[in-house]
Amino acid sequence: MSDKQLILVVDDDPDLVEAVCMKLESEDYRVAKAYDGVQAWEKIKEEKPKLVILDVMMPNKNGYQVCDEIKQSPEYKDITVILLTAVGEAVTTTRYMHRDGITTLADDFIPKPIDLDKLMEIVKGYAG
Amino acid sequence: MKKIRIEGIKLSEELFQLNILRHFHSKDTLRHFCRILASNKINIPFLSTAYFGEEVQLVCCMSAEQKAKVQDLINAEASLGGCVEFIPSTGLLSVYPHKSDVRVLGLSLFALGRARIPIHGLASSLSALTLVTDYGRLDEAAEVLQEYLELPPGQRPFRPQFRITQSEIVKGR
Repeated sequence: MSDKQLILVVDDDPDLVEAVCMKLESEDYRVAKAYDGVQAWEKIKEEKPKLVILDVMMPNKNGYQVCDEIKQSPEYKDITVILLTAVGEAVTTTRYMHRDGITTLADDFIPKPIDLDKLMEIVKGYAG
Repeated sequence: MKKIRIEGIKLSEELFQLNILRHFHSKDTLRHFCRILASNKINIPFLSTAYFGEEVQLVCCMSAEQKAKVQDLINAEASLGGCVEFIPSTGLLSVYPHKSDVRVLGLSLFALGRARIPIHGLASSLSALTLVTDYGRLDEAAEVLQEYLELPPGQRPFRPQFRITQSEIVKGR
């Protein structure tokens, strides 16, 4: 079993997933990929990553819902969640009230378009 | 024949396709054209260019709702006169990840060709292979591709449930 930290990257834009994963692998992390919220939750259960980079606007199950499920689960609540949001300028906190009236608490966020160097700073801060 | 495992098939909303073929100063003309679209806040979900010596061909797709607006912009641009072709009601089908496996491209072309589904354009990006076809046949195209490409259990081809548009945001008022 490798001692490299496993990072799960979730976005419905496959090119963004690939680009972020290439960057993470170049920094010696292991990566897993998912392209919607349902796939993300399956990967979380299968592989239990150290950290999840999670897009907000996705089909099937959005990023807020996935984040809720992670943080409300006794088994997975310690997984770090970094949200990718296209409304970054309007966001000043990682606590979101979304349309279902549920408050989500992520560990951090980064606005799109993503600055990969900034993202890596955040990832290293949590995953070492 | 064993199917090739992929992770997803994404279908687009209804678009239209615009083809531009130029001969002289074509790079400047195309750059100018893209600036016109950008200044009018028109998103371009698909954009591909091909160079043949001094000739440059541009293929792009935009939302069908913006076809009239784009036609007006083209008509106002004398340098594009006579070299523009519109294909109405097109759609994008993206297969991902292709993992640089040329069989994904070959089998996709074979499957669509066998079903006589037209391909108006194609492009490969970092992770996705995107084909442009008739919007009205997108679902059929996705079905025939799945004769050769296998999605994860429970996964179906999907359309985005939202559309990102550009808008004017005024701050600090």
